[in-house]
Amino acid sequence: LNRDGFASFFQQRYSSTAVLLIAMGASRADAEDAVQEAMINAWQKWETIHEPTAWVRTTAIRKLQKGKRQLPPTTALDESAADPEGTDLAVFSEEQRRVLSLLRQLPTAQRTITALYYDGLSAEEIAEVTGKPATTVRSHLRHARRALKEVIASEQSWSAAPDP
Amino acid sequence: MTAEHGDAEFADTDTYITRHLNEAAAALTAHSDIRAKLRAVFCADLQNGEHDTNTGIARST
Repeated sequence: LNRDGFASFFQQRYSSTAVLLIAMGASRADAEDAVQEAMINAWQKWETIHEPTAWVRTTAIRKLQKGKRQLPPTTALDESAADPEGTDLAVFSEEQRRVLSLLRQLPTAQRTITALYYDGLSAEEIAEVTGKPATTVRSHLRHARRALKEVIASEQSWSAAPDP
Repeated sequence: MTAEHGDAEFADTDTYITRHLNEAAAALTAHSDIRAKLRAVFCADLQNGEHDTNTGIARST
């Protein structure tokens, strides 16, 4: 088995896949568990997987959506049921948490699509992963990005405003 | 780069969010013991029991 190839892949994709799941609304613990389990499955089938990034992403999302790892309808960072004290995401900077929060607060229909988009997928690839038509994906992406743009612009204008 | 990723209207937003998500992934890598997690993946796959002399971890073939 190609141990070095898998190790390199693991180091490249473990954290970015976990961040994708966190952006979709998962707690950090659930995201890391789902990615770790997906990676174990990937290693067991490594020689037969042709697109490991997509395979692990899809497998981790499915694991997250099973059982107790249900994604909440909308999740502000300070409302995480798994982490009432807010320490789950303390590893991230304030700005990183703010961006994750913006994504997690998107309406359910837009959130997964937008998180996948920022993981580098095209509308067609997102349509394949989610089972939604590409036109619907594009529409959700447009609405979500417009909302994100307005919030970010508003925050930046506030932070750039001179003190009275 | 896809057509959506090249959309000029949202270029600044995309750049801003992508940068912070990449930095978040780097922060998670820095905080997590990635090597231990990788060893755990290999350890979970012990059913064939072949021993890896480099790592001391049994492996499947």
